[in-house]
Amino acid sequence: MYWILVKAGVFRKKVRSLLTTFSVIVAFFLYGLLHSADPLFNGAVGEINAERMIMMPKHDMMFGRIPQSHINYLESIDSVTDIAWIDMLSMDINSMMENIPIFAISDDYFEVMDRFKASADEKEAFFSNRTGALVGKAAADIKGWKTGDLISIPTFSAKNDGTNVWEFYVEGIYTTSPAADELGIMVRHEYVEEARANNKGTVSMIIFNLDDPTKADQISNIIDNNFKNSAYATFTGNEITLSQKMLSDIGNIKLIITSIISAVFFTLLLVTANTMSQSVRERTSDIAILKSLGYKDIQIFISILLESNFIILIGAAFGLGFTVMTVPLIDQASGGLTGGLIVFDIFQVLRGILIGVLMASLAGILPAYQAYKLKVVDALAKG
Amino acid sequence: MSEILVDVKNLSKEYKRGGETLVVLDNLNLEIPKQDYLALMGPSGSGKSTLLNLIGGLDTPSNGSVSINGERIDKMNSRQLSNWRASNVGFIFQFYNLLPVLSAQKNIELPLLLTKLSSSQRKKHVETALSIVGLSDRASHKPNELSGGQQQRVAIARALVSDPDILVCDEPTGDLDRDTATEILNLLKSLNEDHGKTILMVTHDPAAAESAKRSLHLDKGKLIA
Repeated sequence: MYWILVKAGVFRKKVRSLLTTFSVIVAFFLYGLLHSADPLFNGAVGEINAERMIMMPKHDMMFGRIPQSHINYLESIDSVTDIAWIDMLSMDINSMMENIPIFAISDDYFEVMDRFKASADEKEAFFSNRTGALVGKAAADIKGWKTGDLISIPTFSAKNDGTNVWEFYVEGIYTTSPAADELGIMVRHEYVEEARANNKGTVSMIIFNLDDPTKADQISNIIDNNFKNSAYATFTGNEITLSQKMLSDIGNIKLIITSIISAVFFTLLLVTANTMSQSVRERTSDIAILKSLGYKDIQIFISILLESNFIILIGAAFGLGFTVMTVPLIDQASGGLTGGLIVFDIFQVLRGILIGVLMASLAGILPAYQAYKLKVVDALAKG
Repeated sequence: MSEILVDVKNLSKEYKRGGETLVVLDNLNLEIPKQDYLALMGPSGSGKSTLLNLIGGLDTPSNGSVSINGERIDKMNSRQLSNWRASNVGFIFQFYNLLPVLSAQKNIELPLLLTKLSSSQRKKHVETALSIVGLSDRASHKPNELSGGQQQRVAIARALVSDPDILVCDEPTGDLDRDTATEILNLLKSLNEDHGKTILMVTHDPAAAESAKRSLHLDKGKLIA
């Protein structure tokens, strides 16, 4: 019974129903795409390690610096083991996008950050050459670099000779997970420290392990409190905490995404509710006839709600379906940069469907109530 | 004397309009025997349609009673009236009021969807109704593919399909040309004479009233003839 009533409503104005459904498809597609990037903002990134500790500048985590002497303090803490450090040569965001960022690493970096992989031969060649470089696979693929190449990278870090273009010999290719971390050039800190004119004695971050990972919070607090009032205050935590803190320094991306999606759905709600209201108004005499045939008010109410659900859930199914098909294509088209981190799983699909049902009910409830309250005699008198 | 199907006693219907009380039906009494074919005539605003709506269970009276087949429909609530309408009365309106998306067959089937009949049983009932109105070959046509007369026949089939005792017709020929109107009136007559349906028809058309067994005139809410 209800299907015939829903059909009679939905297909009465086909173009309008089609356009409304299309707007629902676009909204849910947008929802799907934005939510598929959730893992990037949740710290659930590849092999990021909750036990590996990182000390960074408290302010300006991306481009700030801390003195290398902080390492001495770390060495004085009993629980701290395996210290390494890394320093990014100065670049702004635009240069980073255009070129490839250069990371000057300490000699034991690969031991501490074991998710970065290079062959033993490549590492040996790298550590035997002061101007050697290991380039990330993604960077090598994009730039067409290969072992043996001499590469020149412009930076804002001036060298002792007054120039700021750094040259390195590619000694190998490193890989990692996520592949986004392959967009870099690793060079030797020892050489950079000696060759640069500015920022000597500073690093971007210090990485270390603890003999007992359960002490992470306690040790972090001790370290940060120690430097609290210094000019180089620190923020220490595990990799996940740090990645989230860095993202929040750029902006509250999750909040921005949630706001966009909320705005889209709110607009969609208004559009659908208006469409349903208009549709019910136009069908006043149809509804009156149905009631005169013996259809009960509640049956009419339910049929209007089902109609609203039909339009939104069909749109949601297509929108979410397109997302499920598109996300792997985006992942593939990124050349591995997203490293499989953009995902749209069954839970997000189910959440989308639930949102659809909620929206359909909200959009349909007022028009359904109008139809419920419609008096046959009044409607027939109006023609 | 034939058994009384519709028994209206002391029926009044009043509306409140901006502090004033508008009396549409005034203490009206009417008996309609089974298998009667009654035409209700009268000027606009005389209360014809209101009386029709009250007898059809679409509205409730301010005072008085309406009994159909011994059942007091004026005492029923909205839900009970819906159930009663579904099986006891068929409506035929001036503008056919078919659902445009549905075929003739599906439009006729609408009242049967409220019953417990199986799909094949419903189909049989629809085929019978279509054959009575002479539209068996138009079953799959949508309303916009049918002429006005054919649409009204579909509406009559829809009113007939649940085999109600009484057919309530509000200006059934008001939107049709003379020839088509005559066809529809002949069909109604045949439903009354051959199928035993009691018909109550509101009309402004004297020719239509002539096709009924008897006519009554309403004026200012009272029966005058």
